[in-house]
Amino acid sequence: MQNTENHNEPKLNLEGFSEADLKRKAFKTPEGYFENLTPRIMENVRASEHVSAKPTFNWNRILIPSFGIAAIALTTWFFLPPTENTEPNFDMALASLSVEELTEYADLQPAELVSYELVSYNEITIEESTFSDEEIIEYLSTEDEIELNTLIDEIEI
Amino acid sequence: MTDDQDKDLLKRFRDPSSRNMAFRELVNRYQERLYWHVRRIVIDHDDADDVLQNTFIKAFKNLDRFREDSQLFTWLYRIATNEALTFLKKKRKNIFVSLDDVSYALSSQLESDTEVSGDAIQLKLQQAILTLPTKQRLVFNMKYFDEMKYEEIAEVTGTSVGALKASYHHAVKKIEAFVKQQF
Repeated sequence: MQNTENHNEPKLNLEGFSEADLKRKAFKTPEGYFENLTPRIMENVRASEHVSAKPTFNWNRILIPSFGIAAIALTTWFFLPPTENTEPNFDMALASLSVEELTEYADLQPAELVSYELVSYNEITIEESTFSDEEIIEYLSTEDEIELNTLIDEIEI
Repeated sequence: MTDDQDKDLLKRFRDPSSRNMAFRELVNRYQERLYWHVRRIVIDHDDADDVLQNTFIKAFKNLDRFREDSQLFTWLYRIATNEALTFLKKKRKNIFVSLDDVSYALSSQLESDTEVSGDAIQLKLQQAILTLPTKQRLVFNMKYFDEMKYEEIAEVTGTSVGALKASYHHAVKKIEAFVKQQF
C-alpha cells in the first residue's frame, strides 16, 4: 500500500535521520507474540460466542428505566407543595435534630442559605420530557456504541 | 471498495460451514497491522493485546453486518481505533483522574517501558506524537507509519480529506519543532 497520492504533502524532516530510521518500530513485543496470536484470538472469539449464545436476561433493560422512573417519582414528590396532613411540625423536626446538626446549620453563611431558603416552590418548574420510554431505553442500551468523533472529543489529549 | 480476496473471505464467512476458517484467515491477515495501530495509541503492550482481542471479538460479532461499500481493513481499523480510544477513556477515569492529561502519563510510561526500543530518536518521535491532539495523532500514525491514503483514513475517522490533510500538515510541523527542541 505504497502512498504515491500527493507530491506536495509535507514530509517529516528531522535532520540527520532517514525516513527508514524514523519508521523503524519503536516498540518491542514479547518473543513469539505474533506466532501465538491467531490461536489466542480465535480462542477468545469462540469463548465470546459461547457466552453470547446463552439466552441471558438483560436486567439493565428493566433496572435502568426503573431507576429513572423512581428518580422522577421522588423528584415530583419532593417538589410538590405539602398538603395539610403532611405539614411538618417545626418543633418536632427541631427536636429530632442533634446538637451537631443544629450547630452546622447555625454556621452556614447567608450566601449558603440562599440556595436552601430563598427559592420559592412556585418558581421551580419541571420540564416535561419529550422522549418516549422506548427512546430513553434505546439511548441507555446503546451507551457503548459511541461514535469515534465523540470519543476523540471526550478523550482530547 | 472491498478487494477480491476480502470479498471471497466474506463470502466464506457467511457460509456457516466455513465461517471459522474464514475468520481465522481474516485474523491472520490483519492482526499485525492492527496490533501496531493500537499499540501506537495505547503504548503499553498488554493494553494493546487486550484492545486487539476485543477488536476481533467485535469484528466477529458484526462482520455479517459489514457493508462492502468500504474496505474491510478500514472497517477493522475503525473498530480498533474505537476500542483503543474507549480503553484510554476508561483508563483516564480509573487511573489518571489526578493528572492533567493522558498523554503526559503515556509519555512517562514510554520512557520507563522496558518494551520500548532504546533508540533515542524513535523515543523522541513517539513522545512528540503524544503531544499532538488525539485526532492529529491518529491521522499522523495512519499516514506516516501505515502509509494509508487520505481517502482510507477518512473511512476510518469519518473526517473529510481536506481536514485530514490539514491535520497531517500541522502534525508534521509540531513534531519537527518538538524534536528539534530536544536535540
